[in-house]
Amino acid sequence: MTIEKRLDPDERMDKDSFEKLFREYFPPLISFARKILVDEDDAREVVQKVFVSLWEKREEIDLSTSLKSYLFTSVHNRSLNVIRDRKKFSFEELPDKAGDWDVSAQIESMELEEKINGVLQALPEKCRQIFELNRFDGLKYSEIAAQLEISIKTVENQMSKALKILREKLLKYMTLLLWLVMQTLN
Amino acid sequence: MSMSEEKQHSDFNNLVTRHLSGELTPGEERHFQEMLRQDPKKQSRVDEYRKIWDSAGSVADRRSYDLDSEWDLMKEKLPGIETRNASSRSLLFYSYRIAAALVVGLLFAFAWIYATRVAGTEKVVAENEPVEVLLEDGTLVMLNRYSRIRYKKKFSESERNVYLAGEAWFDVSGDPSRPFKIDAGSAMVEVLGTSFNVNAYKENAAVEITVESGVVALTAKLDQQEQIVLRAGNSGTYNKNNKELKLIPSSNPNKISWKTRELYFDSSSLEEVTELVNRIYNTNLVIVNQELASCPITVTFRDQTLEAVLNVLELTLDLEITRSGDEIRLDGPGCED
Repeated sequence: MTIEKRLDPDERMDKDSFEKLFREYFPPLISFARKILVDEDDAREVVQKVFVSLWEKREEIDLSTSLKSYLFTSVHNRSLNVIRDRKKFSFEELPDKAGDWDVSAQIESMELEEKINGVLQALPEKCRQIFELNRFDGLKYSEIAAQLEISIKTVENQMSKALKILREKLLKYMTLLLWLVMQTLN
Repeated sequence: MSMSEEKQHSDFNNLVTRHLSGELTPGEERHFQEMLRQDPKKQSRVDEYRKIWDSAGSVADRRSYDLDSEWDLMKEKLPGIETRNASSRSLLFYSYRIAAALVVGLLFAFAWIYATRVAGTEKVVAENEPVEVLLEDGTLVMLNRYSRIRYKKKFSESERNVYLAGEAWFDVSGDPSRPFKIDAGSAMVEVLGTSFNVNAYKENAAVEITVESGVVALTAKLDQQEQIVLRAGNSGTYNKNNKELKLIPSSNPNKISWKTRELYFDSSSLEEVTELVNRIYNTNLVIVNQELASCPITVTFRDQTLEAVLNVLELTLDLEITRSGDEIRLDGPGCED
C-alpha cells in the first residue's frame, strides 16, 4: 500500500535526486521534529543534520531498510538528543514529550497528510479556498463570509462539502484511519 | 437512499463540520454530544472526521515552508555538492556556545543565551534577560526577553534579511543598496537605515513597530501591496485578526523602555507604574491596598536601579514596602484626592 522508496545501490545518488528527496521529505520531517522539539529553529537544525549525514553516507548507508523510515527514525533520535542537551544546559524543568513518539505512526500520518493535500488541491476552487481560510488561516465562518462577501450558510455548506469529499476520497484509507483512531484512543 | 435520509445525512455532516471548526453554540454542542452518546455509530463517524480534520491541520503546517530557501540553506551544508563553495566543508562543524548568568538589581534573574552557528546561519535566543547582538553590517540589535532572531552570518549583496520572533530594537546601519528586511511572522518590516523597535510576540494580536529615527515601511505578509510608512516618533501596528495596518502618529516613549531603561510617567496611576516596572525590571510588584492603585505619579526614571525606583515611589506616596519571596508588596494609607 505504501510507496516505499529505496535507494538503489547501483544508482549513485546525485545532486538532483538528492534535492528531489529533500523537497519531498523536508516538510513532513520538520513538522515531526517540531512536534517533539516545539522550537522551529532546533527542528530545522535536526532535519538538516539528518540530510547532511544522508548525503555523506549516500554510498554506504544500509539500504535494506526503507529510506522513509531511515529518515524519520534519524529525526526522532536526533531530536531526543537535543532534548537531552537542553536538560543539561537548563536549570529549569523542561516538559518531557520525548518518550511517546511512534515513528511508524508518524510515517503513516505523513502519508495520510499527503493524500489529504492531494484531495484538497483537487477540490472545486471556492470550496478549497473556504476550507483553507478556516482550517489553515483560522478564520471564523463569519469572517470568511465577510471577506468573500457570501452568506454564513454558504460557508457552512462549502465546509461540510469539503470534509465530505475528503472523507469519500480517503475511504480507501479508512482501515488505516480507524487503526490510527484506535491508537489515539488507547 | 431516500430523500429524507439524504437530508439527514447532510444535516449530520454539517453538524460535525461545525463541531470540528468550533462553530456550534454551547447549546448545540450539548445536543450534539448527547446524540453521540446515544449512537456509537455516529461517534465513530465523528472520530473518522476528526482524524481527517487534524491531519488537514498538519498539511497547513507543511505548506508554510518555502522549499526554495530551505534548499538554499541546506545546500550550504552539503560538502561537495557545489564546487564554487569550497569552504563549505569547514562550516559543517557546529559549535555551541553557552553564555550565562546576569544578575540584575537585587533579583536573581538569570539569563542564558545560546548562539548556534550553523553554516552561515546564526541564531540568538534571549531567555530571561535582553541580549545585545551586533550584525555583520554594523547593525545593532537589542533582543528583548523570550525572543530570538535568525540571520545569515554574511548578508547577501542585495538584501539583509533577519527573522524575528518576539521583540527587538534595531539600530540599522545605513546602506541604501541593501535594504534591511525583518520577517516578523505575519508582518514584514523594511528599512534603509534607522532605529526602531519591533514587537512581534506570538501571543500578541498585533505586531507593533515604534520608530526612533529614520523611515520604516511596514507590510502585511498576506497582502504585500499595502504598506504604511513610519517616521521618527510614529508607531505602526499590523493586527493579525482583522489584517489591518494602522499608523499611530505619536508613539508612547515607554514602548522602548525595556531597551532604554527610561520610564516616563505623567500623572500615571501607581497601577500603570507597577505594571511597567514589572515588565522592565522583571519584578513582581503587588499593590496591597487597592486605594493606592489610582494614585497619580509624575516622574522620569533614567536607567535607575530597581532600588532607586522603589525609593522614589516610597517617598512620593508614603508607601510601606515589604518583600516576601519574589513579591514586592506596596502598602500604605492611599492618597487624598
